[in-house]
Amino acid sequence: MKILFTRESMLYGLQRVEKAVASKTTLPILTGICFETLNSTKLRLIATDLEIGIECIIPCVVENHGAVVLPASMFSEIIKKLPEEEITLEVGEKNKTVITCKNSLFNIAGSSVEDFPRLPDIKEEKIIKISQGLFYDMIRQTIFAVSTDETRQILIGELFEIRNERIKLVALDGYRIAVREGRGESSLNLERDVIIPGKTLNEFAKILSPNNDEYFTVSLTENQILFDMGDTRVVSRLLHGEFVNYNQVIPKQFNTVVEVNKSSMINSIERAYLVAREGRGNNLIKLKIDDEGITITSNSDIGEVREQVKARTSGDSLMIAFNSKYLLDALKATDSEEVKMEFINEVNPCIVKPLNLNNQLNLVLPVKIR
Amino acid sequence: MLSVIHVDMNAFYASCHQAVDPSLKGKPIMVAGDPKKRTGIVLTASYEARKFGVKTAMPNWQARELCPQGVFITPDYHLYVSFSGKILDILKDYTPVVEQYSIDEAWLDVSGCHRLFGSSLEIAQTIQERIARELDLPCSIGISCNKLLAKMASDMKKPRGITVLKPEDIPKKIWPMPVGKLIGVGLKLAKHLEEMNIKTIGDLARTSVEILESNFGVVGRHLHDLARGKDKSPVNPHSSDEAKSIGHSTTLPRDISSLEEAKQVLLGLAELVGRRARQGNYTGKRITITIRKNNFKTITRSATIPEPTNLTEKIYSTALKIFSKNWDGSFKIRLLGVSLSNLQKDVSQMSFLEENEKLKKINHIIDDIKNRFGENSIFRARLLGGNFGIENLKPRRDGSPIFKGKGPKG
Repeated sequence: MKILFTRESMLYGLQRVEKAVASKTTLPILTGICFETLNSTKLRLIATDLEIGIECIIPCVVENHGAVVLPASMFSEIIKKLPEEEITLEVGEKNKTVITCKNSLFNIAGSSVEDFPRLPDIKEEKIIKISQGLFYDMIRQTIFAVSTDETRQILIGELFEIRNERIKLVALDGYRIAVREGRGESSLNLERDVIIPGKTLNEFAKILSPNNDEYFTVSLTENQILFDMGDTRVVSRLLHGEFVNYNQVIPKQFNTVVEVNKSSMINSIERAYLVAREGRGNNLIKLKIDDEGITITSNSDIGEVREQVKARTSGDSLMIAFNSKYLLDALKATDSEEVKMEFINEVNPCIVKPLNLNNQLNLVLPVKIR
Repeated sequence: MLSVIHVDMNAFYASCHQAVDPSLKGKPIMVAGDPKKRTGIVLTASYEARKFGVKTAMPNWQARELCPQGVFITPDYHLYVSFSGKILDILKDYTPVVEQYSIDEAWLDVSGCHRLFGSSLEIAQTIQERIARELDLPCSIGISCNKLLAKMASDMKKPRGITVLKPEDIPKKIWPMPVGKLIGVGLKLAKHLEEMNIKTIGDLARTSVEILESNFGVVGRHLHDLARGKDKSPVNPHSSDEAKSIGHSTTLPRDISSLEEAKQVLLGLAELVGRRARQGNYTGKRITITIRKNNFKTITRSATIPEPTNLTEKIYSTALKIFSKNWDGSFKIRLLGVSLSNLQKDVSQMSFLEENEKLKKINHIIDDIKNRFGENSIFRARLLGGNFGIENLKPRRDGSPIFKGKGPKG
C-alpha cells in the first residue's frame, strides 16, 4: 500500500473517527484506526469501540492499494506535528509503515487489518433526512437529562421517536425529563421508537455542525442505527428494553403558572446555588411563588441568600423546593428568552417550556421536605 | 453556677441484664462477644466480676481464668437501647437540654430549673434515685460548670456516686491525675505527651501554649484549655441530629479471601447503615468502604453517587463497586466497613421511576418488621448462613461523632 495525502485532509478524517477509538479495551487492535484504499482517489478511515463506529472517506492519491491499522493517538500526533506539505504513507512487509513528509521519516509498526472489526454494512432504506443544525440542538437540549446510573441500562440512552416526519428525542433519569421535537424529511409512513446510547449522541453531536442546514440521513436495523453524512458514517448499537412511558408522567393541568425572563431566573438561581452547593445534599433551593413574583431562598452552613425575580404569576401561591442544578439544566436548555413554568403543588412535577413554542418541554421533580 | 450534670451509667450492659434477670444480681457477669469468635472480648463486666480483675476489652479466655465462676452473657443490644431510651425520658423530665453522648452517658444543663426542681445536687440525687427505683440501674453523676468538668466529676466516684466539682478544685483534684485521664486525650496522644515529660494533667496545664501548639497545632491550644478545665461547648440537645456520617464495620470471624464472602459482609453492613440512615431520615451521597488487610494495613476508598440515598440496595451496589476496584484477591481481609456521608436530613428528591419508589417501600417495610419483631426477624437471603452470615457478625457503629469510640466503659 502506498498513498499520498495532504495534512489537512488527513486531520479532517482523524478528527471525525477519533471519537470512536476505544480508550479502555481488552482488544488492543481497537485503540488503532484502520486505513484502507477504496479506489485510486479515496481512503477510508475506520474506528470503533464496538458500541459506536465511525468511518470517514478522505481524498488521496493511491499508488498501491492496501490496508493497515495504525495506533490512533501516535499517528494523529505525528500528523498534527508535520508541516503543511504532502505526506506519503507506505506499508511494507509485516505492516511496517513508513510515513515521510519533507525532512521527516517515521517507521511505525502497524497491524494487520484482518482482526479489525468492520462496521456492519447497513443496507436498510434511508428512512429520514434531518438537518445537522436541528439534530445538534435536539441533542444539546436533552442529553443532560440522560441517567448516569449504569445499573439502569435503558436510561443511559435517549428515546428517538419517529412519527413519519415528526421526530422527538427524550431523555430522563427518574428525576427530570427533557423532550425536544423536530421535523425531518421522509417519504415513508414510518413509526419507530429506538433507544440510542447517550454516549453515541454525545459523540455524534461533536461531528455535527451547529447552525448548518445540510442534511444527514438515518437508517435503522433491528440492532443498529446509521447516521450517514456523505463522507462520514456513524454506526451505533441500539439499547433494547422498554423505555419509561414518559407521557404518563407529564401532567396536563396546573394550579400555578409563571411567565418569567429566562436569563434573570438563571442568574438568580446561579447566585442562590453559591450558597446551596455548600449544603450537604441536593443543592437545595426554595421557590416561593405569589402575586409578587418568585422569591428564591437557600441556606447552608455558610449562610443564606434571598433572590427576588420579577415574574407574571397566576393561580395559587406555592412554596416548592428543588435541586438547583436540575432546574438550571432545564432553564438553560430552553431556547427562548421568555419561559413558562407550570406547577401543581409542592410534591408534583414542574414543567419548564418556551413561552411561545411547543417544540420543547422539561419536567423537573421537586425535593420533598419533611 | 454549677448547672451542667453528667450522668454515667455503671457497668451499663451488665447492669441491664441484672435488672431484667434478678437471678444474676450480685453475681460476677461478663457481657462478651461469642466466646468461639476471636472477637470474643469482654464488653462490660459487672462490679462483682471486676473484683476478680476482669476488665473491659479483655479476651474471654483471660476473663474466664481470672473469674471461673463468672457468667458469660451474649450482648442484647435491643435491651440496652430500650433502657437507654427510658433513662433519657427520665432526664428529660428535668430539662429539655439533654445531650446524649453515648448509649450510657448524657449531659443535662439545668440552669433555669432550680426554682422548679431545687439545686443541681438535689436534681442529681432525684435522678439517681429514680433511675435506681424505676429501672433498677446504678449510675454515677458529676456536677460542674461545663461538660468537660462534669464528665471528669462523674468518673470520680463509682459506682453510685455523686460528685460536685468546683472550678477552684481543679488544681487539687484534677491536676494530679495522669494525663491520659483527661477527656479528649487518647492512648496515642497520652504516649506522645509522656514522651515530652508531661505525665499529669497539671504538667499539661503548666506547659506553655506555644510549646503545645508547635507540637500539636490547633489541638495544642485546645489541650491547654482542657487541662485548665476550660470548655465552652454547650450542652447540645441536637448533637445527634447533626450526624456527619453513618457507618458500621466488623472484624471478621476469620480472614476473607473470596468475593462471595465479601459480598455477604458488605450487604450486611449496607443494611445496617441504610437502616440507621432511614431511621434518622437521612440520605447521603458519599459511600466509603474500609478494608483492613490481615497485616493490619487499612485502606479507605469512597465514591459519590449522583442522588443522595438511604436505600440498602444502592449503598450495597456502590460499596461493592468500590470494593471490586480495590481488591484483586491478592490479600486477605480482616475487617470491612461501610459508611454513608455527606448527609442531609429530612429532604428527598422525588422520583417518577416506579422501581425507585418500590425499593423505598421495600426498605421501609423491612425496617418496620424489624422494629416490631427484632433485627433477625427478616433479612436478605444472601445474609443467611455461611461463616459471614448475620448470626455470626457483631458489627459496630462508626462515624457519627456522638458514637465515636464510645461503648460503655462501666
